[in-house]
Amino acid sequence: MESNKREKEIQSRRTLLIADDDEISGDILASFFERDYDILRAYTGREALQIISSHLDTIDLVLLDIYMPDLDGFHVLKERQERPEIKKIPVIVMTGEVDIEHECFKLGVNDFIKKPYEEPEIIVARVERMIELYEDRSIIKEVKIDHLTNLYSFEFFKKFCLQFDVAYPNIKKDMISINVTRFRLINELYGKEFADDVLRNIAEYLKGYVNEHKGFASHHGTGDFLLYCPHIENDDLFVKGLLAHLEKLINPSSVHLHVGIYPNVNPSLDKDIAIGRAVNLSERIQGDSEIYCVFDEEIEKKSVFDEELINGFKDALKSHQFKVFYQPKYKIQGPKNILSSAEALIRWEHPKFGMISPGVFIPLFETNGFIQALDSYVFEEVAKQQAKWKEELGFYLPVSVNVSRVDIHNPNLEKEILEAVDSCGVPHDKYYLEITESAYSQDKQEILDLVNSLRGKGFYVEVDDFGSGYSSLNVITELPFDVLKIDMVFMRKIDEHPMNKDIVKMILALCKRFGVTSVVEGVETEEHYRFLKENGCDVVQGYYFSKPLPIADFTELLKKEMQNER
Amino acid sequence: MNVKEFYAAIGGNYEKALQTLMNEAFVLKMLKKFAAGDYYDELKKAREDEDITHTFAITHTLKGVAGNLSLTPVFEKASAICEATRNKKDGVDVSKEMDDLIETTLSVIKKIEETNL
Repeated sequence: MESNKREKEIQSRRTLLIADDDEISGDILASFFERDYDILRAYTGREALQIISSHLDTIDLVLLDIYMPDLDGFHVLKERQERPEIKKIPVIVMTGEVDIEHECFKLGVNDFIKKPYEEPEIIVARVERMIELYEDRSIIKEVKIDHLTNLYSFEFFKKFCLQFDVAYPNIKKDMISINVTRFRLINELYGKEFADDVLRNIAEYLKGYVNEHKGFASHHGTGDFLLYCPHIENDDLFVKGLLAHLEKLINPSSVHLHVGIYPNVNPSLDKDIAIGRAVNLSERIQGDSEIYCVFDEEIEKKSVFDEELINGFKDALKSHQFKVFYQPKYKIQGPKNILSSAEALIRWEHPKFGMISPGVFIPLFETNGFIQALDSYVFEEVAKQQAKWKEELGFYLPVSVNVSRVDIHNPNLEKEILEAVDSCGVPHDKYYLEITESAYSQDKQEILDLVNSLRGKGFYVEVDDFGSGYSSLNVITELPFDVLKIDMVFMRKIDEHPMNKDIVKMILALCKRFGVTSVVEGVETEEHYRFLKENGCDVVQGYYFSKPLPIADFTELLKKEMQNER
Repeated sequence: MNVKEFYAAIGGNYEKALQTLMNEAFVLKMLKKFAAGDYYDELKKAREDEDITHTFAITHTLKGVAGNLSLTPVFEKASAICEATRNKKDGVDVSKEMDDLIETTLSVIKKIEETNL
């Protein structure tokens, strides 16, 4: 068995602590073991306890002398009795006196070596056996091998990572996460047998790899593998090798892998963190064209930053660090341009990082689920503000809020919106809901149900970002909505590609034809504005008129516009 | 004097030392360490202070190291005093035995200093 061979190899570099105040006796004992073991030395009981406490994961056995200055061996044994983490390390006492054996046994000593030392081979054999006995005992508690793949289980893998570090302290090592994407789907589409074959096949490659290059592999979740091995110089070659192996078994288009490589793991870094980083890297890969992602400094900085944002989220919500900004929308087809509504846009006034734009935190919160809480917060803030304006200015300004694609799956979404709006007494037709077009291509039925229900209650539904993704004209015919928002990319590229002008013209004509209001965002120049006005666009939004404004500034603008209208 | 001759001269057990320490160079290295150590000074101090606890501690240590190095006369004499002073029996007079052990230890140390491979 290859794995046994490897375990043996690791076993050959186990660690002993020799606690003996006499240097010569300690030297002699150490000489028995130093070829196959790493040796730590202590000269007092206190020192022994300190070393044990700081090497809990590395010390395999303690060889203990009883008579030592500054806390004797009995003290060490008594403390060991009280501390389970030390108790799991076996202790053999070296003694020349039979009469202390009884007391030692009571204190949990596992075995004795007689002083003066006689046959080194026997002493070595006893130590070895005791370690094996202890290891077997702890192994039995855990599932060591994953039976499907014959790779190590996750718990065991972590243990061996630590031992591997001890055995090879001077070589660089990588932590690698390999994930079969959409594994459940493979299971459903091709059957369990095929799915198992895929896993076995990957395991086979990893086993071959570690046999050749050293290291350990683990199968730790349905489609997830981990590999801890000496640093891989050529990641590309490693991944290609894996894919080539897989292709022998299956049609490569049916299985996709995401590989996260965290290279040169600092041995002092907690293994859970190293594993987390590798997994994180594999999760960062999007789509099927990219296969692997190697850690770099920039990604690290980003992930530390992300983590800080995530950690600060709950407090930020409570202390109103999230500010709703309002960007005005203007009707441009009348004799005068009229500020007719606004879009609510969120900003984060972060105590450490300053103002953070939603492009930074929204994608992050969409992946971890915070977006629902954040959107809920915006729903409420906007309705409250509408009510305030009503009081101050005498009318309800229509405001559109963004509904994240993640919200679509929230069964309470409609209830949350209704509660926010009704508790402030805002008429439903002054509350617009922007739903991104790409959500429709992913969850058609859910969106249809939601949109129908919301419109039934009088809300306006706007299709947002039209044209930013793989737009389909089906959206226009299939989805009942009130407003089509044409994405800003068209406006930005209008000068680069004259064809973009034709596309915008065509969409505007379609809107007219179907009787929906057209809104174009990203209007930045006079030229944009004129073009849109000429081509019948109903409403525009963009820096040409105004950037998103904080409440006070927006209120000022509203007042000014009201006077202009008069 | 070589190592084998040293053991013969002090009445120690060369074969046993070699069996435990596995090679002569290591035996000699440990003997030199013994000679350079403070065992002798500690013995003398314990004797001068007539301190039973100290006497037990040093003879216990000496018993261990002399046993492992098969320095039989030192081992035997140290063991006897160690047993006599175990449990810190006050009033135990081991001064004669200590003098004897000190003398034996000193002569062993001197012989070690003359020993080479």
